[in-house]
Amino acid sequence: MPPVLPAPALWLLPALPLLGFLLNGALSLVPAWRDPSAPVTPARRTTVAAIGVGVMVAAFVVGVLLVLQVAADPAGLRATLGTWMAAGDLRVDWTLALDRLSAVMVLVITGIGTLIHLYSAGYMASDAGYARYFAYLNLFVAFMLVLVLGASLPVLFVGWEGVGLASYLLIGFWFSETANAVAGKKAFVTNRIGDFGLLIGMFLLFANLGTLDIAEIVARHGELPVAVATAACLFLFLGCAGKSAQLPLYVWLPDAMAGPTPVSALIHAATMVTAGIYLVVRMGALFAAAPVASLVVMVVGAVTAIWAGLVGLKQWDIKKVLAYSTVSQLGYMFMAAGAGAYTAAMFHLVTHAFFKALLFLGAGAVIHAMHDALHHAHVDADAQDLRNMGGLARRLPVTNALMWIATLAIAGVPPLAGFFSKDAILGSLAARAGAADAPIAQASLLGVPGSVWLWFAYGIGVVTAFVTAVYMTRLMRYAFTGTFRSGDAAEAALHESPWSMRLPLLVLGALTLVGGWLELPAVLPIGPVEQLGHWLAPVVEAPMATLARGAHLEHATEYVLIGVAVAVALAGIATAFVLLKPAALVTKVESAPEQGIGRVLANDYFIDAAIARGVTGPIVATSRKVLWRGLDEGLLRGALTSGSAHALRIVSWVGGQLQAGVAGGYAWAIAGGALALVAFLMFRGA
Amino acid sequence: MTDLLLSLGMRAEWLLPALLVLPVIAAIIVWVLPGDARLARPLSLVVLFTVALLATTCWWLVPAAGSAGFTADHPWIEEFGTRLRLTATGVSLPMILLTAWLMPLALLACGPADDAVRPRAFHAQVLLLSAGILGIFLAGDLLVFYLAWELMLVPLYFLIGAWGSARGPRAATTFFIYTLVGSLLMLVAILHVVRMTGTTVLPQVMEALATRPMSLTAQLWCFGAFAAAFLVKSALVPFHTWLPDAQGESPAVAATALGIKVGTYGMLAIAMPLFPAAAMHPVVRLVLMALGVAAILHGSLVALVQPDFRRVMSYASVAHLGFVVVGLAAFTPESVQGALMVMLNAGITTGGMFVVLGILRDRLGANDGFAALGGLARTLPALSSVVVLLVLANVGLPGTNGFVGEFLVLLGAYGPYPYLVLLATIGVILAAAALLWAVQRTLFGPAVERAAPLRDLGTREAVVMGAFVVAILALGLAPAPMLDRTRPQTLRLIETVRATSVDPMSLPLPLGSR
Repeated sequence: MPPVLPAPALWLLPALPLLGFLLNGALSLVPAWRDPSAPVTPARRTTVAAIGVGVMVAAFVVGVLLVLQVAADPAGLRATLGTWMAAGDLRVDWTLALDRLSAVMVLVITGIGTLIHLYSAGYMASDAGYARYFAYLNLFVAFMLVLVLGASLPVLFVGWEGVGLASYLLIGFWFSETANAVAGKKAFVTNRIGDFGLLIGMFLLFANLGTLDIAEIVARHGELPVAVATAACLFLFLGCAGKSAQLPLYVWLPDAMAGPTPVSALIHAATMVTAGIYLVVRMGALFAAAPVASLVVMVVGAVTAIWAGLVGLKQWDIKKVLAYSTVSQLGYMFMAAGAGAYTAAMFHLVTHAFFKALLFLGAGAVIHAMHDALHHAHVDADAQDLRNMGGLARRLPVTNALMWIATLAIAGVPPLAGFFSKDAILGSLAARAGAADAPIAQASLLGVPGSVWLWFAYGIGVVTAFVTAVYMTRLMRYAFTGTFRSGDAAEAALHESPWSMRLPLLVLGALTLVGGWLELPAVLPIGPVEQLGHWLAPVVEAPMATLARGAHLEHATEYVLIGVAVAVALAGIATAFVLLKPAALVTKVESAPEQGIGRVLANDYFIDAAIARGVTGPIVATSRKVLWRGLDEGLLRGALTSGSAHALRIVSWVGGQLQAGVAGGYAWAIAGGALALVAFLMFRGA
Repeated sequence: MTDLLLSLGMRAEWLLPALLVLPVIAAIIVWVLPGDARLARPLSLVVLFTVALLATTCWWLVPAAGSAGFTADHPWIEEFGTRLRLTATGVSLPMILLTAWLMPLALLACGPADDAVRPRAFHAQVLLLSAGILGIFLAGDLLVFYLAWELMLVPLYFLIGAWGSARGPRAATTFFIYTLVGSLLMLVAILHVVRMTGTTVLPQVMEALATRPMSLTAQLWCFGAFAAAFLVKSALVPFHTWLPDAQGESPAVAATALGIKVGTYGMLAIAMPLFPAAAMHPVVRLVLMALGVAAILHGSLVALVQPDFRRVMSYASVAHLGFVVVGLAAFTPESVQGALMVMLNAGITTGGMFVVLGILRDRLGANDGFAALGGLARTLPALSSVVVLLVLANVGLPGTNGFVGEFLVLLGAYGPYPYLVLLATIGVILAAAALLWAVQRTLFGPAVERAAPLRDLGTREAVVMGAFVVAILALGLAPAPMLDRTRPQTLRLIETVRATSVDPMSLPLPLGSR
């Protein structure tokens, strides 16, 4: 097939949403458009949405055309716009590169991005900041595309911090509420801690290789001593832990739910938060050369998966359940990426993008309906609290059905997307644990061999799968079954969303149903098997072969593993049905606070309070009391400013005493001085 | 473009002196000659923008002039071996352009409140200040450098003291004493150098010192004296406490001028080439590195807890200076070019912040602490957008100008000093925390009730802020042309210093010598 678009068209991908940002950003500053007292007129709304959604559709089309070219030529495309900076040995060009790996990301970002932009057109319709919202959302997509297309680490970093900026702006979108602005700041600063690691990783690689071009680093990673490769990987992973919300840097993501719900779906579930997994896979060659660092990635992912999953069991805010679920699922992806199962990690990244975006957008439809209904019935209640819902299935049948599909998918029920990707991860972990020759199994972390860690991760994966099935079923039952708990008047006002919101839900529902066919396991040949693996092979095959040398599962073992996974998922769903009593629920205001372990989980292990007491509080207090008041205002000002003034006063007092006008005094001084001079000359001469 | 400029008669002989003489003449006209006081402002603006346009030609003329630099050399005081030598090189070019544009833009943004009192004297000070700062960057002769250095001091003293806030006089006195002590030390060192070499013309001084090097002890003393002047003036920790007072209490144009890093420029262009053995001494470098890192961490941490935005910015600029010092001390090609970029970019972003905060003070009056602010983004969206962009540039978001310099400094310094760079990089976290907290308290949250609605950026102010926005994005996305211009002379400077510095490891420390 002849190339439809030349390589420089790569730059169209970020340029199109950037154009949308500029246009809608300009519109949002037009004085007549931002008068809060005047409602957004339909004509303005249409203009803004047409720009915002239009550039996304265009980017998606361009993306598909370019990906088709990568399908024909696995070498990929590269396009340089010019030199960004050059100093000393460093030279960074504005270069974008599209290969099989970034192609997957581009399709997810522009595809799901388009759907969520469309959804937003309806969801945000009554918001006064309509143009500003679309400007930020377009800006996010532009940076996200730079992130996945950047051919060097600094260019990737432009996107990396840029999506953090967009996230900051969108979390604090309703900035008049201080809490929202605080959540945005928290996200940015926490991510900066990760970015610190990414920066050091870059410095380390540059000091040792003299380049920051990703392809060159991947090609020349063999020159690095293992210790350097390990250190570089760990620093890079710190960045990944920040962006992808892993322990201990995940604390910003639950708070990020302060942003509009479509933002949570796009940025905080489907795309931005997966950037860390993308980076590990992108640098797979480096991580494969550092098995210990890979083990760290896997263990952090495993611990995060169960840590956040448990918290999800005790959340009442519908978005918070999904937020902790996202943290947990990202941990799942890191388990795979750490174990060197890059295909499985990317597979789960894609299916998660489908079903988690669907869950968030479904939750958005619920919140939208609840909000309008409560408002209509003049009920002052939390529209996002599960305890205030109940029986929504009767009023929102489409949303109910679609969210059930997503729930079964994330729980791992076959043949939905999540079943296949979760099974791919668990299978990879088991296979590596049993491969005696694999460097990942031979490596030792904290004195424990890698094979044990791999079994540990497998075990946590199974337990987390159970927990996931429980909390998701809990959410669905509390929200959609039983009776509505916020009054008949409000219930009567509940309604399904407009078509612009329902259409994206339907598309995502379809993708959730069939997404598993991207990577069918060889033991379940209900279609062409391992398609994603073949697609990604040019990028990930070599590092996977290095890190997981000899990993293999017998078909019989694989059937057992699949059986375990399905049994666990069904057991989780059944547990939630047996143990939970939606009928016993009362509304948020009537509820008694949780006790015991439930209280700990409901408050996320009190981690925010612990950080405030143990980290941020002491830093601010030390800065104020010791560094500012004590050192700058006290010691330095006292010693250097006032102190020198005092010193001058003493000197001038002494001088004043000497010049008292008493002739005798002067005579004594002259004599003394003469004597001293004579003595000096004598001793000097001697 | 170069040919066009040359054919228009743009020669260094008159162009460079004009950059200094025009503002001085204008200052005399404005201040001394009788006339309508209302003419002071337009005249000053016309002169300063003319200077800016003339200086802009250096962008093309400096690279064309080659290794000699774009130089004007006139006889002056034969007895001292002093010549009126002015030169623009790749090292000084960014600072010349920065100063030449920053001063008129800051003055243009000034509201009526700033120059309501004695407008003629006010504008004369601004004009003299511009000449003083440009003189520092143009000086090709030690005496010219010293005169310009002192010329900068006086108008700043008056601007802070007479046109600042109620606490201005105190801040001005502190500023004056601090910098005067430093510059007197420098004068002693200059006299010593003149005694050794018999000339004050910089290339000749350097040539003389290259053929007959000073002893390491003498170099250390002289370098120390210069460094004292330069680092006090740049407000390096622990000599930084005058800066927040001065910037916090002064009018925007003075606060902006205080953000121009004349001190670290002196370090790079004067002190390090004159006394290479001292500059390259491992202990000296380590001390400078440590002070730079301390400035980054201390500045960012203290910025967290300041009561108003100006002081937050002041402390943030203490941290910026730390990056410059780290870059200079590490002395790799990446880090030195990075340090130059930080000097340029910090001038733009800090200056821009003080200009926009000046506009904000124009709206809000003197009561602009965080306690009295909040929710401004709703009523002032354009101004708020500019503030957010400036803050992002200040915290070094990639794509803005702030990133390029800091990244090059840290990247270049990591090789020789990995652990200190590890510490320094923590600064990027703290700076973000400090500045975004300030943004949150100023722009976000519930809006404070006000009697009259606030006015967003007017046309004049929008033009000024637009210039800052353009500079931030241009130098952030395409810094390559600027780096290309600074590269040749920076590399030559690094080579010279490294070549003429006797291997410092072979020399004893002064404490043990003789």
